[in-house]
Amino acid sequence: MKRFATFVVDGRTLGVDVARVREVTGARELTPVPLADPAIAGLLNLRGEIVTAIDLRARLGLPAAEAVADDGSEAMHVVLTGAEPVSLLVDDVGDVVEVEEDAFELPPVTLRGPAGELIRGAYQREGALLLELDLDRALDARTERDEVSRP
Amino acid sequence: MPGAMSDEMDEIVAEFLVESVESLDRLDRDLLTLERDPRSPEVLAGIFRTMHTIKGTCGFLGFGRLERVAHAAESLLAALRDGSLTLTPTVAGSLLATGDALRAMLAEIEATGVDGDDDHDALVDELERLRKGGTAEAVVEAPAPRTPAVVPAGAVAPDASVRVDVALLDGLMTTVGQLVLARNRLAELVGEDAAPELQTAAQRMSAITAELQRSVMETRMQPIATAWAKFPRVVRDLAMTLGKQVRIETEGGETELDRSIVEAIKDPLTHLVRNAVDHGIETPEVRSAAGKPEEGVLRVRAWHEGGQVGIEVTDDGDGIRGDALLQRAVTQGFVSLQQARAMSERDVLDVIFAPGFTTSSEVTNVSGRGIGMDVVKANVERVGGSVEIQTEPGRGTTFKIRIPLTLAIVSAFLVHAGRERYAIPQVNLLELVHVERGAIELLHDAPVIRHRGRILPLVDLARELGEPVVVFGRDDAEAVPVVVLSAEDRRFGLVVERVGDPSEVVVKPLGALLTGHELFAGATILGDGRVAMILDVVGLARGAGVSDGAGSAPARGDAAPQQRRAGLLLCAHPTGRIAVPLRIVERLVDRPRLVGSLSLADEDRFLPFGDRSIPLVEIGDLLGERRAVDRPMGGEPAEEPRQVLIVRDGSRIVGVAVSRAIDVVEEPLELQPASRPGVRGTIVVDGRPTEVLDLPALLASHGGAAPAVEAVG
Repeated sequence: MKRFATFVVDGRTLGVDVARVREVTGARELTPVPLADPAIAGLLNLRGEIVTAIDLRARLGLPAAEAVADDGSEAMHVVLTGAEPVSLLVDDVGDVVEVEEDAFELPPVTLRGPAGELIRGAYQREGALLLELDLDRALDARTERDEVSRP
Repeated sequence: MPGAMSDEMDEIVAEFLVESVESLDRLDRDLLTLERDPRSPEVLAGIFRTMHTIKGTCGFLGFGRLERVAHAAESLLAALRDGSLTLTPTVAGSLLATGDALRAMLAEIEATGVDGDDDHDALVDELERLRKGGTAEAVVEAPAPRTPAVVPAGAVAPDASVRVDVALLDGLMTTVGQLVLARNRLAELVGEDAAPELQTAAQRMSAITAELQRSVMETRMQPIATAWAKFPRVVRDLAMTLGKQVRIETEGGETELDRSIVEAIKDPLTHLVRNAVDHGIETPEVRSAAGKPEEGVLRVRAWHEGGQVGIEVTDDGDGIRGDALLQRAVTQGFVSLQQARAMSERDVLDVIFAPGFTTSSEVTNVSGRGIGMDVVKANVERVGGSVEIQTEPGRGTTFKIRIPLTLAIVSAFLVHAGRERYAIPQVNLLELVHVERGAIELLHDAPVIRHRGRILPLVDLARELGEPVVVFGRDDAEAVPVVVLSAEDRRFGLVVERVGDPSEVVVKPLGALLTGHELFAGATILGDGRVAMILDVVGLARGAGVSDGAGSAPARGDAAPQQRRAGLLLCAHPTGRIAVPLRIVERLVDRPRLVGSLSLADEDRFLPFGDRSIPLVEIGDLLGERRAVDRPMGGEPAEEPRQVLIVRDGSRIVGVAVSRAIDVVEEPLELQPASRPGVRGTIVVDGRPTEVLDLPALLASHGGAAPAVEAVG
């Protein structure tokens, strides 16, 4: 049994090990970092701590989101545990779900580009697909866009 | 026994390790002192006590191998102490080697819990042999006076300090950092329209926070001597290996710095010292042929300088020959012949800092591997410091380092570019000026202004940040604010949209995802809760190509740079010209906005400065001149000074109003005698007599002694 914290990015449901999530917080004012990697959404102040926000859409090579989505919802931050405060900027946050380990499948072949590189695998769940994000790769600044060009 | 160590035992061992390592460092220093003064009973007693304590404790803890080595050394020391043996270089060498062996075993204990499997038999035998006088160096002199076995009670001071875990101090600093942020936020929320009681309470809280911040920062202060404690040993060993004679002299070891900075400069300083012994100081033969004493002198000196610390490593060796250096740089392909011809003396010396550059034709085990000076420079700059070289062929070389006192909380001011605000560390700021568009000229397509007799290259912050709005391109702006900054000894003007207030900011390092980003030194949280990036002025200058461009350097006099004196800031005031040491002028502000009443009584005049108000005084009042109300000050109304020098003297910050600042001049070696109190002397600049003021003395006698934070209430 594995427990995932889930969130939505561009209509897909992604998940990370629930133990890697420290907290979830709503939209906050971001200070952009000029000339940084496009996936760096900016820096935010989380109760006196400076957190680096990663735009998961940009990281996965997905189109940028509208500031406020059609349904009025705003982007959310999934703040991760670890020595260095980092958050993932996502469209929306879902529940914590449990999945059977043997429901694990390799990522769908339809996933191409950075998305394919950063998804560890998928779980079939009540008809929907839960994609497991490979956090270590997503946070590694070196796994950069050279992987986009791969076939 | 070590295998079944209880927690309590672990703690005892941990304490033993910390204390022993400290004792061994002291032992090294004491032994070197003893080499110069072999009869000093106090030093001998101290060394004996150190070794005895280590031996006793490791016996108790069951570290047999450690105990055996310490015991052999102790016996040798006992023979020295009772005068049956005198200290020779061989004896000193073996005792220093003992220190190294003990250190190695302590490291082993720290890593594995046991004192290793090396019995150090050779060392123990050697110590034993020396104790028995088994060398030709038998005592021939009269026996030394017997040292009292008991050290005078006065030598051991009552213990008024406690040992605190560094992690605890770091945590405390973080908390205080957050308190400073909360205080800044509160000050912003209270604002100017709040009830007087609320304002008073907020000011009180502000003052207490400042005091707490100062105290906590003080607890983290360490004397710089901790960074150079090992130098005598390093110099001794290296000089012996190279067959050189070198004496090291240190000065200002009590100068205090934040421990993180002491830690950060330890390696660069060690490198400079090793380099000086290896490359700087010549062999005794060469020295005597050149008419110098055979023993070379290496001076390491530290001192406070404004809000910074200066450190100098000076050798009296052969100096750096610019032409030879340049030739090597060309052969190694670091500069082209064409570049070489255009290089100034300073540029040539800077080649030393090029990555991979080496002056050694052979690779030795000491240096010459082409790593080093670039790393030295990078490490110093990482903590916001700078390195410069002064050299005189045949006479010696000085490396001068300037570093900030602390890293965690720095004085900064804000500038606006695009929609964002950026913080710039105060240490980089020379002054703020407004530049009329017409005054901007193009030199080789690069915008410059003429400023204080120099060509100042301009850098547009928005452009450097890749922002679409470029100030130069805006036609509506008649004058642009320019922040004059210094980086690596080169000046440039940063064009910004607007200049904000100065404030104390808590520096937070950028995470791994953003490392390697040259433009930013960190981030901070501002009073309104938003994050702002802190600009790295050195990186900014590099990015804009200022530091490399030959055009950035003003026509520098060809006078020998090694005797460059501290600068004087030349100012006009209503009754004449005055000059003050640039060192104490923190910044220069244009047309200040005054708070408090505009009456002519000085005690009512304050100048807003960041999150506090500072007293404002007139030069004329300081000099005790009668105020001429009807005399216009540089065309402005009499009570509106056009420019204010922000002067920092210790913890006191005062604004000193002048008509305008004119230029920076070098302080001449001799002054003509002073004509009145508070004046150090007179110089003639541009044919006009100029009084050089003793500003700290004037301010002290003027009675503006209250610290700035309390002046508000």
